[in-house]
Amino acid sequence: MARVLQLLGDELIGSARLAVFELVKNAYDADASEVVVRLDLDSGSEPVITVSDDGEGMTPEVLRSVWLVPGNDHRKEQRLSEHRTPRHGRLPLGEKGVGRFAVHKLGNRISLVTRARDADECAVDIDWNELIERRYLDEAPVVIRVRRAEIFSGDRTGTRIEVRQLRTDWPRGEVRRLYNQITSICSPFERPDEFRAALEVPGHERWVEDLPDISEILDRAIWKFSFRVDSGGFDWTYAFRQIPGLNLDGRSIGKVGDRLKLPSRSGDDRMERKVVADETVLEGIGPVAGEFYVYDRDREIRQRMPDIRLLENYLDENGGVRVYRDGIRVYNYGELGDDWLGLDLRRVNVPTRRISRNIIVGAVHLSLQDSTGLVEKTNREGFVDNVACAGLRRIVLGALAALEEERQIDKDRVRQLTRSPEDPTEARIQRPIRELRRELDAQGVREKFEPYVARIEEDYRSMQETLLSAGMSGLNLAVVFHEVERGVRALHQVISEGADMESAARQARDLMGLLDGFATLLRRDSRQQHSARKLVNAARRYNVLRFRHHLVQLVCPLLDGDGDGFRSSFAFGLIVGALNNLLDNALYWLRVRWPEAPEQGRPSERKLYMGVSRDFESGPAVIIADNGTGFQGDDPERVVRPFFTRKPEGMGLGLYYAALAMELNGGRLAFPQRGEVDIPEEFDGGVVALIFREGR
Amino acid sequence: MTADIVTAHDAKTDHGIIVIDDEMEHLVGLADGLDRHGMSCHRVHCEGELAGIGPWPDVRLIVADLHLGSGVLTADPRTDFSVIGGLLEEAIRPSGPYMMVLWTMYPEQAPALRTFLLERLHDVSKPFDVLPLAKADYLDGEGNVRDEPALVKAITDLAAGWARPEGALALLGAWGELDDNEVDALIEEIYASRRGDTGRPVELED
Repeated sequence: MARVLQLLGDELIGSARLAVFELVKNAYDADASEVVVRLDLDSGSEPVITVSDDGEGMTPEVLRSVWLVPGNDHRKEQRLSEHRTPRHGRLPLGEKGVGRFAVHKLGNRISLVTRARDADECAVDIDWNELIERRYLDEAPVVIRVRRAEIFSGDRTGTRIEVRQLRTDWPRGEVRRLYNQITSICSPFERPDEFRAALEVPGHERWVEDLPDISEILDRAIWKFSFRVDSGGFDWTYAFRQIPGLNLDGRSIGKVGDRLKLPSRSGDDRMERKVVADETVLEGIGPVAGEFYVYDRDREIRQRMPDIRLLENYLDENGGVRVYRDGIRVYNYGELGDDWLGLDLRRVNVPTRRISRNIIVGAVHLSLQDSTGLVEKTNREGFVDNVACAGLRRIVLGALAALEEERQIDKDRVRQLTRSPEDPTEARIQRPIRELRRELDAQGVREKFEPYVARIEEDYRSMQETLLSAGMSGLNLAVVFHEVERGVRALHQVISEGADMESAARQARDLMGLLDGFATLLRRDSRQQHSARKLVNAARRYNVLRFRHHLVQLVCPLLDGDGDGFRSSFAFGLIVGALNNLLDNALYWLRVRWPEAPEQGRPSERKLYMGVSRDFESGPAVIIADNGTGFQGDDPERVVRPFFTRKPEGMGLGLYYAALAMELNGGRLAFPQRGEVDIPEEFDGGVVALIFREGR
Repeated sequence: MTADIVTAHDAKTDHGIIVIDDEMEHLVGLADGLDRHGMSCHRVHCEGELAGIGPWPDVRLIVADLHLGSGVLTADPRTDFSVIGGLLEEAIRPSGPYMMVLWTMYPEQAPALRTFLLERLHDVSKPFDVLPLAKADYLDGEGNVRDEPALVKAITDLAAGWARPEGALALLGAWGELDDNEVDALIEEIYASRRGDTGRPVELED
């Protein structure tokens, strides 16, 4: 039985470092102000780990009935009854009574000394070598010695645990990682009052002295984003800081009571069709706050940053988004190897805009009292996968997308200052593709990925050929090419880092889809005379299921009458594609502004207009207008730039595609101001005009 | 051998099998293969124009690409689902049992397309099933069919798994020649073969 207990400890606590963390959490629950972890690793004597706190300590009774009883859930009971600690008013973090196994993970001989207020000091020695020799626990009595205070003298209370006969070695690298782990136990941003955790390694201070202080790292971030999501909405602030040696002003912006746009997938039908967060999303999660510090590892920026190696080493080891509850870290979120938000994989499609783990230091804060739906797994590998956990992921990704929205604006400003003009016809894909294939071979998954890789290679090549022959180099396509190359590299990276192959294959397919779309766009060139009526009708018919599903009222005077509207010469499929992209956007922003479906029998608030206009000098136009959120202050030049989007999961190519399709057909895409076109007043959201050349 | 490509303007059919693709090489490769193996099919090269397509209420098997020229550049397939839905509801207008084969580079989308169509089609028959057929397994890098017999067998197997094993496609193709009793018997058989199949649940958000 004793053997079983030790095995249980090994299974429940993933690593010796995590075991130390559990002991620190126990100190927090014991209302301690300070906990000191000391590693005596001098070669001259037996290595010892000592964890000392100044918490409330334990009486002999508590020691006997709680600490020595595995699985005792008195902390959980305290938490459920919202019983707070007397000194610091904390709710307990522990709930399953398994943290005590942590000591046994660390070593075979344990000496515990503890003293509660107004009580004698208690001492217990446990020797696992002896215990596991016994078949049953009751054959292995543990003696509690009650004595006059020796360690915790005077009014002092607390607990000291010494662990000997250590079960793992503590080399320099492991101690450095433990240091990072202990210093990250408390949130660097929202530190709980009066709780300090420290690591001492006497005789080996140099092992950790060069490790940077977190505040130094945070000071060097180029972007900072803070947010809070609660029932009142989404408050956020964004700051872009000046980059050394770059003549570019910083920029700050923020909003109070904004709407948090959520990425898709809920795992919960209640959230179906919701694209913005509301109170139901926060159920079981409570308010969520956070900070993201983001860095830039592009060559042009790296060379301007002092002491970049130190920063990058830190980011490689510690990058990611951590989770804290009541200021104390929840493992293993944000640890090396954990990508709970899927940041690296989602980057494959739009690497420039998306933030990967190795450029972010982030923290998400939860309230222990309010996040009742988030239950920690016994093995300390995050929360149990349930509705609340999926909701938390969506909320954090939504906040991150809001940061990415603003960041892309400043990234573009930086790029304009640092990049030389690129020639989209210059071949650059071969090398990343070759390296990707080599990695796929090494991982034994070449066959699974090859159809997509071959297609990416072929589409890329055919697009270059088309561009060379058609002289279309001025259409901003360099950015698209560059993004695909980076996407291939990002795919290579996630595969080499052991990503889940099914998810990686999905990303490869998506990357292929992106190129497929462009290759198709550039291949088509069959311009013929068509009427506006036929065009608008095709777009309506293609989208009829979506209009109906999202309860969108379509106003389309052209189709109500008999006329053609106008005639023009264009490649029909291309322009229908352009219209589909505009309608796709409109449907999304209608749902952001009007998130709730109307009650039965009530007319829908979501309205969409498709019509024709002769208000433009250069030619007749098809107008798409809606009563959604509009363009939110973004100028036309920005919104048609490839990969610019304000949708959390958008590719940022819809309006770019539409503009490109119009240019390829001799027309243009325009964003008229209200009053420039004659449309009903109720369409006060986005207005887009596809302007054609009549009769050509 | 290449049969005429049906476009939006001249499409009429008595056939029960329709193949739809926006990429001509893929369309011809598959349709020629089916023709050569005695399964005459109707070809639709769909690049964004719906006018003139259908109605073909007696269709029994639709083999369709996922991307039919929606032009929406996104990893989200719902716009493409909507295009297929629009094609079914506004153009083909099937009436009676039929099956759909999603002939695509993205076969994993078949269950989601099935859910989409079952939930959202109105006033026309819904497909009994949407089964995946991966283009990557049958086409080379230039869009040519690598192994035609294997491709035809794959489609036959999909259909046979859906209806009766022997001559399922032939029977479906000859739908219009069946008398009422035979139609009833076939429908019952189809229902029986699907009984207990609750489908693969797929979550749709949009």
